[in-house]
Order: sequence, then structure tokens, then C-alpha cells
Amino acid sequence: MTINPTEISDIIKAKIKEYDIKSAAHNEGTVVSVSDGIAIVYGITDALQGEMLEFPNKTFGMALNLERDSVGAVILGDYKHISEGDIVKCTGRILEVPVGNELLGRVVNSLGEPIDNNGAIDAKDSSPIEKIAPGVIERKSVDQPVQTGLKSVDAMVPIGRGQRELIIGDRQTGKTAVAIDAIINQKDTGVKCIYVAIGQKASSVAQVVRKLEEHDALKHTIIVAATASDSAAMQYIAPYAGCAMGEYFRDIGEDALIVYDDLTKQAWAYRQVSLLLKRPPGREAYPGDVFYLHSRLLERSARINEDAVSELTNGKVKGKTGSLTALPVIETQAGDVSAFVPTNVISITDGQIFLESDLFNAGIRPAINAGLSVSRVGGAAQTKIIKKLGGGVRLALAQYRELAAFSQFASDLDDATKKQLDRGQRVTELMKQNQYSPLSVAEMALSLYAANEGYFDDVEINKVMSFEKSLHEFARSNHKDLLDMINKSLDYNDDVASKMKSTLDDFKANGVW
Amino acid sequence: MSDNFTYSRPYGEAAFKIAIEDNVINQWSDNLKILAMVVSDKDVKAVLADPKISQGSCVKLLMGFLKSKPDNNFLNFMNLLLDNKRMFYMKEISSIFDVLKSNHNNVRVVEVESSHQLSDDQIQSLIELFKNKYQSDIQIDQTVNSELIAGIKVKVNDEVIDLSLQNRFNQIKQQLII
Repeated sequence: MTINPTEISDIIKAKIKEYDIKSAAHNEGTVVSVSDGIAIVYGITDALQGEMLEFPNKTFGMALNLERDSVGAVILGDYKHISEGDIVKCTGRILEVPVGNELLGRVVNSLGEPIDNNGAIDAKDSSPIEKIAPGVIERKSVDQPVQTGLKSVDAMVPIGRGQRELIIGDRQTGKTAVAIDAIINQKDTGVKCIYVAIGQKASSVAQVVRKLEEHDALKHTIIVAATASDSAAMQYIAPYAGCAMGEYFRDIGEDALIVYDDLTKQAWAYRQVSLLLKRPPGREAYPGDVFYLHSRLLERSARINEDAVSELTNGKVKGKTGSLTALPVIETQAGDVSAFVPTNVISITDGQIFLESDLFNAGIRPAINAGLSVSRVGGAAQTKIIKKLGGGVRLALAQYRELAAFSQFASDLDDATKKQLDRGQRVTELMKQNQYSPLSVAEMALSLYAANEGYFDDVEINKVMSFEKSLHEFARSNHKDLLDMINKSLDYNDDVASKMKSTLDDFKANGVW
Repeated sequence: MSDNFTYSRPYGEAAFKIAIEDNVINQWSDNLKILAMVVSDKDVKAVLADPKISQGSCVKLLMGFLKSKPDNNFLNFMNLLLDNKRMFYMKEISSIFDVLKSNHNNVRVVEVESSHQLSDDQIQSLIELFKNKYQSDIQIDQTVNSELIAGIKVKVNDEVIDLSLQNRFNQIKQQLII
């Protein structure tokens, strides 16, 4: 591309003409010391907590420690050019990020600046990263489902819109995979997604972006990335920035899903910032307010009622509720859920999906531990058909686990026990699902119905997955009307049951697997 | 630097309370200013830090620099500072004392930087302006700084009103660098 010189001078001329010089009064102070991304500033006695401070060269910082004679601030971005004696100006604003539909499909950093080489983001609105969560009056109970497309999640630990469901497990247990599958399944549902990557390798983030692109799921997703090479301050504020972007959709009466991957690393980053600010360390060297760090973040994920939406949009949107569903991720060390941060987040969230490395290594993927995983509010939001059919699965698995442990010792088993064991093995097998292949409600219902009614009982265990796959293909080509009907009504009645039964009989008679 | 102020504040406040009680604010203020200057001298620092020199001799040395003979309380104050090894914070203590003094007298110190020497009329109009703004008496500290090119820069505590040409150029420069 050739640059037209007159064009540039015209731009500059226009800029000079339009430029309005700000001569208003401002507060300023001087940098006393800079180290490890923390600046101690003398002066600025009127600084606000969390206020944006302007350092030389358009570098910004955030005031975190307000002391009698100094302000401790974290510098967002590079700090090598800042030195003792530099002037720091107050901006009078709390840290803000751009929000809106313009960010969808983009990869941004914790300040909302694009890092995907696709040009500037022309967002019209911005929002402070720290906001108070909606109060009691504005809220509405959770009663709509978020379909993750994973049988084991949707059947056993259903998630509702506005719920906070924790994904917890050791490293390499498929935590991110569950979250990414949930994002992919929101395609064409109108649910906007935000994926916040905290302290991850840049290559992992790039891979997530590519996978979302491959499955055509990037266009409804915002990626907020604070990689391991970004400063601790950027990693600390990334979830709040992502949350502000999600809140925008919630407040205009839409539904959004946000994944914080992962909050353990954010707590580490916050610990680093706090220790450098010389705040006293507590348990595991975390500062005293590490609980509030996560509780105030997750409390902002909520479902708000029609009145609140109408008030927030000045009456432009009426009769719609808004929601922000959160899937925080916590990485445990060697399965230790009683460490400080995991216990905190477990107690804050409305349930958890517990992933185990033993199950993962045994080939059960997603490696969800059905006994320890719970959803405290999702049951009210579950689709009728899955609720009806999924209940049996949970029970069968629970009975199976008890019997399986017991049957290790017994050589002779009666027929009823044997049958239950067989059923359990098949259900366990059925709960396996490949990555990036979310199922529709109808497909899920068909599989669950087949398991409940014993259609799998005469299928060899290692054929269960291929049986299911062929069943879905068969139903898609021969009984599409049934699948469409279920996906539309999401209801379970005798008519649906009899149609599913005839489909399965048809498949057993004519299908191959 | 900010820590020094934190350590010095109680001393400055205590000194000011005594000065009010005894009604010797101006003498104390002058003496503190002189001491601040003296203590920052390298040689004096060395003497004060020398363990072989007794505290009494140190006080005598410092007293020699003072214009008027200090009262008993001021002597005690110096001894206390030497006891607590806070004598080197004299500069901060003095400035805290002065801030308290101007608050007490309802006077605000306005630092005015200008590119050229201001005329008496100009200073008078500035005083009028700030009198209205802050509802208090104004003391103008004027300095000339040719780097401003034109215009003035006013500083009251942390608040800065920058009306210089240098500031405008800087703002334009930042805008043009996209």
C-alpha cells in the first residue's frame, strides 16, 4: 500500500483544528519508587481507590493502596521507562474497558485493546471494570437452561442461565475442554460468550482461538487474554474486565456465558501484587481479602428481571430478562480441594463439576465425578425432557458405584445385582463424549431414553459409543421430524416416548453399529 | 520520601501544638527552617552521626546556628529528636509545621511558575482570583521557568493548573503520535 502524503498532512491538519486543549486543573504527584511493576507515588492525596493514574508516555496504572502520604499503584503494561521523580496525574476515572457487540469475535487484553491484528475496535460504550453486583430487587431466579451439549453435564449437573458453576480438577483433566465445548454449543442460541484466559501460555490461548474459529464459534465470543508473559496486574484485572464485557449483554436483556480460565492463577497474580504492595500475608501467603476477590467477581454473574433491564436501558428494552452465567475454573494440586482458594470458590459458586485424573486416565472423558459434582440451582432450569430421562442415569450410576466396590469381594452375584452392574457399566460408557462434538437436546434425550429402557443391555460394552453414534446418525436421516419436534418443544410426554421407542426399535431392527 | 513524612508527621504536629500554646509560632517556624538547612549539610550530618560526640555537644552545635535563643521547649524538642534519631527528618518536620501554620492562619501557598517575571499587577490579579476560589488569604511563591515558553503553571498542594504553551505542545505531540 502506498501512502498518500497529502492525505496524512490533511489528517494532521484536521486533528490540529479539532484538537481541544485541556487546561483544566488536575491533581499530580511524583513517583518515589518503582519496582516489579509497583509504583509508590507521593502526593495525589485525592486519589480514589482503583483510580486510573497517568504515568509518562501514556502508560496507565491503578491506585490500589491509599496511604496517608503515598499511593501504591500497579502499572498496567511496561514500566521500564518510568523512573523516580516522574510526574503522575490523576484521571478522576475508575479503570474502564470498552464493551459492546463490536468486541465479539475479537481477542483483547485486560484493558480491552485488540491483540489479534484485526485493527482497532470501534466500541461505542465503555464500562468500569469494578461494579457492584445487582441487588436483591433486580434479580430473578434461574429457570432457563444453558445447554453445554455434554450429556454428563446436562443430565447430571444442569446449568441455568445466571448460575455460577465451578469447573474444578487437577491439571490435564479436561477443564478447559468442558468450557470450550459449552462455548461451541452456544452457537446460534443467541448466548454471547466471553472466554477469559488468565496466566496461560500464549500458545494455549492461540489454540483455543483456532478451535473456536474452526467450529464457527468465534463470532459470538470475546476472548480476553492475560497470558503468563503479561504483568501480574494485568492478570489480576482480566476477569473483572471480561465480567464488565459480559455485564453489558446482561444489562441489555441478553444472555451471556463467561468462562474464567482459571481463577487459581488470578489469585496467584493478586497474591504477588499484594505482597509487593506490602499488604500482610495470611494463609498460604494470600492477602486477607482473597475471598472478596472472587466473591465480588462471581456475584456479578446473575439473572436480572424485566424491570431491571428496562431501567438499565432507559426503557428501550422491555419484557426481557438478562443473565450472565459464569463457569469459573479452578486447578487443584493433586486433587486437594481443601486448599484455600478451591474451598473459597466452592463455597461461593452454585455447584461444581468435579473432574478427576483417575477417570480421565481410565478413558472416561469428560472425566466428571458424578458423586461429587452437584448443581444447586440448575435443576429448576433443566429442560423437562432431560430432567425426566436424566434422573434414571444419575440413580443408575450411584447404585453402580456402590455395587462395583462391593462386588470386588463377592464371586457369586445374583441376577438383579449383575443386571445393575451391567447397566452401570453401560451408562458409564454412554457418558463418554468426544471433544468438540456437542449434542442437541433431542440426541441426548434419545441416548438417555435408550439407556433407561435397556436398549443398551445387549450391546457389548466396547460397542456402546459406536452404537450411540450410529443411533444418532440413523435418527437424523430417518426420523428427523422426531428430533426437530423434541428440540422445539423440549417437552416429554407419552407421544414423544412412543415415538422414541419406535425409532429405537426401528434402529435395533435395521441399523448397524 | 513518603515514609519520611509519615514518621515526621507526629513530631511536626506536636511541635505546632506547643508553638500555639506558647504563642511562638513564627519563632519556631524560623528555627525549624534553619535547622532543616543545617541538618542537610554533609559535615553537620557527620557530626550528628558520630557516636563519640555527646548529645549535649550536638545540641550546642545546632543552637549556634539559630538566630534567637530558643526557649526551653525547643531545646527539649531537639533533644527528643536526637534521642529518637529523627533529627535528619527536620526538613519534613519543618514543612509539616509550615503547612499547619498556613492552615492555622488561613493562608494558602500558591506556587506560580511563569515563563517571564510577572508584574505586580499580574500577581495582584492572581491573588484576587485565588482568594475567591479558596476563600482564604493567598501567599504567592513565584519562580521563573523559561522552559514553559509562555503562560503560567499554578500549583496548590497537589492540584495543578497548567496554562503553559509547553503543556499545549506536549498534548498536541501525544495526539499526533497515533
